[in-house]
Amino acid sequence: MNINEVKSRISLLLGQKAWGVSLGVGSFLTLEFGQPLLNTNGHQQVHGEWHLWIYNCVWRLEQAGKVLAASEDERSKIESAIVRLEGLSLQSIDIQPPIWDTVFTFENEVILRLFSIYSEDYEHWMLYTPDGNVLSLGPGSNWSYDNEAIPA
Amino acid sequence: MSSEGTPKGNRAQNKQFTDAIREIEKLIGRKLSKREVRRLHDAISGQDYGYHGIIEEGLKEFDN
Repeated sequence: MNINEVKSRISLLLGQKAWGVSLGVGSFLTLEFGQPLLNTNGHQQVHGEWHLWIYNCVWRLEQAGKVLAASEDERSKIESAIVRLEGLSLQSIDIQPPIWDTVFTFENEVILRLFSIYSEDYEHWMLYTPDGNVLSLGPGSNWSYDNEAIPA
Repeated sequence: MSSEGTPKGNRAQNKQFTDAIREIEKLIGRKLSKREVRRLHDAISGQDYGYHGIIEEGLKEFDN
């Protein structure tokens, strides 16, 4: 599969609304899309059919040309800002070579910009898909679409 | 839960988490799947774990 096929698969996310937007460890952001799945992992988090994990990259959240928050801000500022993403539908995903800087554009002119910062060792972001695969962008220019259909 | 060693700065905390994952993999002798990594992240999010706390939690979950 080449990156264009990957783009085509993730285009299934377009038009879906983000929910369960959460700040995890450090600046990790997680966003759910699609129907909620039955929680089988013993912890309280409910995931969607699609689970987007903004992982080892830096990012900035903007609305209509104004910066709402950036990934090295204080947690309280980030937590207030990411609420804006709740319930917004995803309008476009732009993934730029060579290292997969990515722009997620939501309705209401809300934009989440990801900047890849590791050329080796760490993935930039991951998307858990309904078919049990996980799309990983990074490290560097690498990407993978792994089958993890057997629940861990 | 332990906050020992929690670095300042969000990016440093990200790195701490991913470094702890590698140490867990070394200790249990296998790679964690991305779903297992997500499960561990779910378990520790919002609880101010330090590096060793993350490893302890990972061993509890995955070292069978």
